[in-house]
Amino acid sequence: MCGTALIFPHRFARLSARFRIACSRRYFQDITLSVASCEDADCATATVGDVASVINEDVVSGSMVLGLDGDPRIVYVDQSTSSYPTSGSLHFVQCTSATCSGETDTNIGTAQSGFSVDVAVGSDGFGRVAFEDPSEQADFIQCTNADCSANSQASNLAQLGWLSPVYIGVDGDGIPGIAVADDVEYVSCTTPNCSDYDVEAMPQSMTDTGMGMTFDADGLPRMIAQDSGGMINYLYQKAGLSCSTPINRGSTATCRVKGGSEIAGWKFADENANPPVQRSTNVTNSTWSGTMATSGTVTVSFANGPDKTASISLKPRKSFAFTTVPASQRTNPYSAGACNISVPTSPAGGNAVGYSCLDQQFSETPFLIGGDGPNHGFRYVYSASNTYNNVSTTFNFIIAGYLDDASSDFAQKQCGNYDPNTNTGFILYTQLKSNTYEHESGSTTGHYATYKSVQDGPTNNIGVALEAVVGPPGQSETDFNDQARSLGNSKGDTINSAAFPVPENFCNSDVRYDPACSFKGNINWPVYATCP
Amino acid sequence: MLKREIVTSLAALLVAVSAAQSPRQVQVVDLTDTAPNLAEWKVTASEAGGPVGTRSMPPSYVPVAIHLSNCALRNGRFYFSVEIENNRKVEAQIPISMNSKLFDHQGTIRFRQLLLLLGKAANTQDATTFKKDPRFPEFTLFGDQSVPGTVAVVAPGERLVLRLKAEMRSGDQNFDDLRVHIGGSDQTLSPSGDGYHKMEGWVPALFAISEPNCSESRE
Repeated sequence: MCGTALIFPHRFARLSARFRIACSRRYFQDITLSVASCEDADCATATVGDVASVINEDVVSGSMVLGLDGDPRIVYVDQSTSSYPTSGSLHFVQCTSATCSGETDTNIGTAQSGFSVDVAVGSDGFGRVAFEDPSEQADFIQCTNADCSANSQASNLAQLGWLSPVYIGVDGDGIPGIAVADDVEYVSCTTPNCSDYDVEAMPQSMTDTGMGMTFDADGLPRMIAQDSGGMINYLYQKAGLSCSTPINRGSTATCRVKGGSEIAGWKFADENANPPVQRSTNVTNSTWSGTMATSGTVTVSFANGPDKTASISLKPRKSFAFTTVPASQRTNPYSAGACNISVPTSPAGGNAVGYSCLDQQFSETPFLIGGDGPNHGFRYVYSASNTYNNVSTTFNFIIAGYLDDASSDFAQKQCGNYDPNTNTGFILYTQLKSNTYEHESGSTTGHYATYKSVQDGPTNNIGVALEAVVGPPGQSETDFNDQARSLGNSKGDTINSAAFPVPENFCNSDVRYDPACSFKGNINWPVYATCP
Repeated sequence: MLKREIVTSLAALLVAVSAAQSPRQVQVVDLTDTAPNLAEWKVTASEAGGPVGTRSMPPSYVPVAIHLSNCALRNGRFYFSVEIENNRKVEAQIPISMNSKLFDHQGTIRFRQLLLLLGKAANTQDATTFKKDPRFPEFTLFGDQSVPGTVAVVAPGERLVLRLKAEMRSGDQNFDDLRVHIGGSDQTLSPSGDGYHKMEGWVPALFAISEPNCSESRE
């Protein structure tokens, strides 16, 4: 049996504290989680109330804070329903007395066991919980009722190590902040449910062995952490302006001022020296949000005091990459869209026996950002497709009929008696046919293989390129579309030039060679030599 | 040089040039005294697209050649000409009207649009790159054969000269590297809800960038 208690200084409610007791044996233990309500300043006398019976390995993960009603709010992790070694069910306890003799215990999720849970209470009286989830990410839960049976969760806010501590605070506007210790980072939420946030690293390297955090009167975090040289006290007060970053292009960013004096204005400057976007409405508000098209810097100015800045970094949307279209064999001749290809229908020495052609199409939907946010007036590509007006991108190839037909005279005369030692005889029919298909449409060497290789890469994929097209304020939609087309055209040209080089330099362009560039024999053209 | 100019109401001038000077027919459209008259369609959704890449090019995709010429700065206004040379095997239909209200009617609206931009090569090592010069406005021309006088049909071997005037946005008078870029598209505005859904289909033949030869006159 191993016990642990959360110390509740009853008479000095502003000085809530906690400690933990580690078990000496390294296996799962039945643990009684208790609250000690201190009766005097040094807690020499305390009334202990049991909260829950839990099972944990080594240590219990738990944290406590006082609610606005003066009674404890507790979070803890119980491993009784989980397998070794680390995760357990995350519980929120709303106590209805100082010793938690009355309580509501709600399972609110799954967390790592260890030090990695913390609880705070917002001005609405409801809990806020930060914890390390089983994938070692910092997560956040905003309780939206008293016992947290209703809540909103934000996941994967920051990467943690195993058993890394997390600490949470809530400012006067209900905006949470989370400190995590691996290396020490601070998750500055910009919305009450932390759907938008900014992760900032501490300005010097810290270890993950211990830390603490609280909020000052301005809602700014102050922390202690241990540096690599040993335990030190370290005070960190975050800058007064933070913006959600990084975010995907097209998402909403929120910038928020904490602790500043009277706000006089907001502006956004992109990284391309375009004229800054000035906020024109509600300029004294402490937040500024809007859809984002481009990265840049937000600056807030104050009636008294220096400007503060924060950057917003945008990530590309991953769904924009165009996928390689399949190679489609067409009837000889073939003419459609950009392709007009043919090969001779009768065999003759020197004939092309196959031909291929890429017809690339694309379309994009431009979007003009309205409102009065940091990127209002910018345009970006809302969506993109490798089709336009029901015309799709196609990779087309044709094969001479006399080569495709195994019963043709031509096919029958490919004797397959080539001797590399004497360099005499003719290629095997199936080898010649395979070489031709491979050159035009195969996945090893030739036109289609190169098309696939180049367009699948991030450098020349048209969709990936379109994703990043941004138009500055004042640019017309026609000009923006022209810009998108120009970039797409450039990428399309690169793909086409690689897949259809002039002169053609694939080692199997001469289809007597296989994709490994090995000569497999001459073609027996009319007038045919007799096969032995 | 002998010239015979016929001025139309749209300031389009058809010029027959002496055979001794040039066998090519030249159409001249003077828009220097024409103010844009733009319809205000409420576009609720739009899409732009078409073929890309300049390889595997059928005749209709081969772009026209363009030249920037007759540059002159007078009273803060920049006068210039854009010469569109049809060296292709098929005719080119080029919008020449600055009045999009001519196409403002009930139902589905269709017209061809030509965007003209003045600028420089974004990458001086690559003439196919282009960056708009913020000193100049952009020009948009509209046309459709169903609306008389809004389209110039330029046969193979013929040239069209557009004379234009731009209000300069700054005092910098260096035009050495100036190029002109054109981009053509076929626009379809389909009624949708309380506005229009716009489809913009690029016309590959009408995308071109000139050389930086502004000081030269080709007329």
